[in-house]
Amino acid sequence: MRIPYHPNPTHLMNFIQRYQPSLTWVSELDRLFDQTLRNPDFTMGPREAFLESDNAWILRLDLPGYNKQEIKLTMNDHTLQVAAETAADQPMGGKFEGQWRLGEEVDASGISARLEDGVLELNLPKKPQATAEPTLIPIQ
Amino acid sequence: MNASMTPTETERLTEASEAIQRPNFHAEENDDGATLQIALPGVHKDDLKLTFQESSLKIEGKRGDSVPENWKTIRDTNAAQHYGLNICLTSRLDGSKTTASYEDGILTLKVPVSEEAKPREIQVS
Repeated sequence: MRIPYHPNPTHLMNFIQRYQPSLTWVSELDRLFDQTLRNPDFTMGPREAFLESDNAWILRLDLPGYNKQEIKLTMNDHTLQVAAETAADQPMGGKFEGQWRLGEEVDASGISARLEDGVLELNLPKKPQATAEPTLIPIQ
Repeated sequence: MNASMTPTETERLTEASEAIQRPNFHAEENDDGATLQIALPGVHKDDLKLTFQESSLKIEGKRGDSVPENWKTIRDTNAAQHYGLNICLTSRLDGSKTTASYEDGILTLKVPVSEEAKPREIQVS
């Protein structure tokens, strides 16, 4: 991506757009876990990915600039809450809040989380399914 | 649980994941030089590429959080896997002396003012 040169002696760097992310953004997201796919071209807040593997659902949130101590995760009656806040002087930080309502199929006690390279990954295990085959009951 | 996406959605996301996205960044300047902070979430330090050529700083990064084959993507607000950013530096800055550090998905670049551009006192004989 080439950026044209704009002669401007007071600035040391030239950008085509000087993007200044807002210092604080608070996003209250209340989502039903089995909500239908929204318009993917509209996004508010950081990138969010919902994935499904064989035995769990995975929620990935982009939270660059936050370290582990600055992010708080709580499970409150089937609602997953994420709250993150950096020190006020961090230009790339700010405040973030989000919540997700989880369905009955999630095993809330087994939720684990990992933070790596600014991505928060939450593992939401599925409750073990009732066995598909009927169990035979022997008669004494 | 909602079903997985339609084939066209999968195509759209695959296409989106190959696009190069401009990352969010913040820039600050003072008398000593400039500091750039670039948000590159999902990029591991080894997948970061920083080059300086002809007064232009180029930042490239590839996210490492791909999705395994047998997983389903239910929702992804931004599937871009590649970041790219080109920054032109004026001659006052010495790009070859850029220092970089990377933590929590934020790349911090410090570019000092070049020696020639610093004010020098001229003695009057």
